[in-house]
Amino acid sequence: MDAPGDFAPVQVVGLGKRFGRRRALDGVSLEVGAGEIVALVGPNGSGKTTLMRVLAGLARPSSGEARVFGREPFRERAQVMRRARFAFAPPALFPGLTAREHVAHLAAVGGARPGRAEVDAALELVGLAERARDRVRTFSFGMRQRLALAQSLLPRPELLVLDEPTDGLDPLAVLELRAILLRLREEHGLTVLLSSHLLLEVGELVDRMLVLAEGRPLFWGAPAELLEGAERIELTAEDTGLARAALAGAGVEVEEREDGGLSLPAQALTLTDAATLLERGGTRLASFHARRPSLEQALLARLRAAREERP
Amino acid sequence: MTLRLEGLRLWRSRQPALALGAVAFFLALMLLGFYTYAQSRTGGSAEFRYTYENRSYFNGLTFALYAFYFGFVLVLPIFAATEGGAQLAGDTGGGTLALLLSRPVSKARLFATKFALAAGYTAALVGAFLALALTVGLLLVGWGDLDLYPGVLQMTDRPQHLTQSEGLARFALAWPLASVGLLAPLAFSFLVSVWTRSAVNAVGTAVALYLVMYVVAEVHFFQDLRPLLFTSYLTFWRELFREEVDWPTLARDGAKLLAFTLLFLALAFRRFRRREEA
Amino acid sequence: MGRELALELALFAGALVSALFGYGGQLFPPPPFEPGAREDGTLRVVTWNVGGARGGELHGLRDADAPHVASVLRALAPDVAVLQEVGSRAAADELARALGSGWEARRGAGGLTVLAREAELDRARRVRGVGRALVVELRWRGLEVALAGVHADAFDPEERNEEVGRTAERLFDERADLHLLLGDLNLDVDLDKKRDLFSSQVHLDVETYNFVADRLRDAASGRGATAEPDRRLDYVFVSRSARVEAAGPWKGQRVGTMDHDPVVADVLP
Repeated sequence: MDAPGDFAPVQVVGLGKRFGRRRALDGVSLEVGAGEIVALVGPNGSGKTTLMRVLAGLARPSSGEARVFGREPFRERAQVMRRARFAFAPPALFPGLTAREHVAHLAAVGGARPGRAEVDAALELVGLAERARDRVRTFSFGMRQRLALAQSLLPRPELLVLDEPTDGLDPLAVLELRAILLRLREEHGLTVLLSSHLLLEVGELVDRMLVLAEGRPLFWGAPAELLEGAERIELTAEDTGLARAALAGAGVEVEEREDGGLSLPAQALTLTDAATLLERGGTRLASFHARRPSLEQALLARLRAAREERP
Repeated sequence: MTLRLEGLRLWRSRQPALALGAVAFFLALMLLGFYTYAQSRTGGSAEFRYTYENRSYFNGLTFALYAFYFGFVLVLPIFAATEGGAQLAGDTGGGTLALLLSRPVSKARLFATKFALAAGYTAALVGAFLALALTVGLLLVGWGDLDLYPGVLQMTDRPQHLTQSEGLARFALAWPLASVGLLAPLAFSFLVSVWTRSAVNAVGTAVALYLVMYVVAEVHFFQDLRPLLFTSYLTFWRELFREEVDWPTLARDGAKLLAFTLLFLALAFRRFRRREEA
Repeated sequence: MGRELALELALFAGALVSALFGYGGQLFPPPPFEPGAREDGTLRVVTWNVGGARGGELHGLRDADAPHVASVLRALAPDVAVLQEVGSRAAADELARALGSGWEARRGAGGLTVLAREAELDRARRVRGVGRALVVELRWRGLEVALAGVHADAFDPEERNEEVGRTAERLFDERADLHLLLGDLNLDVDLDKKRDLFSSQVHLDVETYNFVADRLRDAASGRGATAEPDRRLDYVFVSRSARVEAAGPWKGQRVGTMDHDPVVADVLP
């Protein structure tokens, strides 16, 4: 008997997955609590989909452990799927069926018997009510993406795992998807784990995120935490060379920017200290800004740094 | 419920219409060939031979039986292999297997449902073939008793005579037995299907291997291999078209085919339940 | 997972049970035909090609093998035996003598010999246009029996078709209570053997066989090979009105370079 709340929806500890000699996942850990919205972020090939396939019981871990509602997915896949729903990318659907048949019959595979109203409500939610009677083979990629979401909502799961759900969606549809997921969490306590290679599209939606690079975890935490230490001071001086020497002499870590300005860590020194230091060094401060990077920029910086660190 | 979904998918695919079209085309060809053969072998001035082949035994039942025999070894197994090969490999390649496995359904149920559906479809195709062959035969070739002589088709090793009603009753029995016979190539294609990740590869490989085994079973040189090949027993239902049916032999040959079927299914399922869908 | 393993095991078990049922007979094949004591009132007939082959050359019955042939025939105690490739008239007479009193021999061309015991054996008549065939009438326990013996061509199906067909027609011309056609027909129409994509002219052999089988019963049908390792070339055909009590090739009786088994049939006319 499954009692909701007994186990976290997703628990991953030291997970590794190899395909031959290639390590697709290496030492990945993750915990998604009930009602959380968590993103897996990383460039293509970083291991996001592999992690989701392990969670879906489609692949066996090579090392470590993955549990969904406390169950081992590969051995207990059917039990896991009573509470979780997965939608992989690109959306694979049955082209000969209509949208309505798709949602109704797939729900019935698990033994559920959703009524016509429930099926139509799911289609309405994703904006496909008008196309309910049309065959899937006539659908655009974006419509398939939305239908994949609709089919995964019936019967209502406790955990929804979406692989690249924003792919092929126009900006408006991305906004709608965010609204739908937030509403489902609000109304039904839905837990969501989604993946994206574009942080921009999910950054504002998720509570926490796991950044993966070449199968290894790079960051785990709230998106805002990604910005910690990423804030910089940008200053310009009348003589950049003298300014650089003065700051370095005071033990400040300085980087030269492409536009000729200098970049230093956010807490390195105040405006007054900077002006005084440069005066003493024989030049004058021209400008001083605290620069807060976007999530995307912060992520890119981390990815670059990670790549440079790798042998 | 899985069966309803799978059934609807099959119904909406082009497969049944394509198969029926092929069966109709094949029967039209057989009809043409049958008339040509009858004309050239019995209508002309053939040299004298101690033979019992003459115009009188060419009739609707003979046509239906010969058409079905050829269709059974050459056409129906290919459709069975196509259906079987497309089931798991098609879903794997198309990504829809992950869609199905994302539902609370065991691999055992999914596998069993797919095989049951494919078996039902094959049986329906066998029934359609027989019905069409008999209709065409009785309407366009003619009524009459079923006389069989050992010939190149090797339907029997001694002359047989069945009245028309007896013949029709044997055709009715041939439907379930021939359907059981086709389970072996179907199960074999399932076995191929779980080792491949594309429907085209699965169907191509299953059909090619079937043809190789069929040819090997038909070559005297390989006669020692015959007991090991399911293709040797596929046409076990021919035993029905005897004045006195040898039921024990029929049952034993049917059991051999069933053994092959279950062995292929066991091996296929073993692979399916243990493999990763990565 | 437990249910899935159960399904797999059930499938394997089902395959094993089906295979045991299906192949059981082959694993424990029925014993080969053994001519036992025949029932009272049955006519025992034998056909045996007693010649042999060495280095691709065919040869007739060797003198050294004649006593063995006689002893086999004594053991079988048939009423009529049709032998092929008995080298000479003297050898045929010697065989009849060796079998004991009451035996008579009639000889056709090419070593074809009919031996009969306590039967009023009529003179042998040739079949027009057929070298190695004869037709003979005999009275057995008050029954008129018409018997044809034939040794058909080994190489040419068209020749075989002529020889067997003419012999059968000649036999059918005889008015009798029982018709018998025995001999080495040199055609193998076994369904399984014919399953050969590369065979030629098999069809004509099948027609030849059918021509005879349509009027007479193939007594040892389904009892296996009679010659070389795996060919069924020797036949006993009897009237359809007669009942075949037992029939088949008696294995293990070949000596020297012999390549045929004696084929025995107990017939209730």
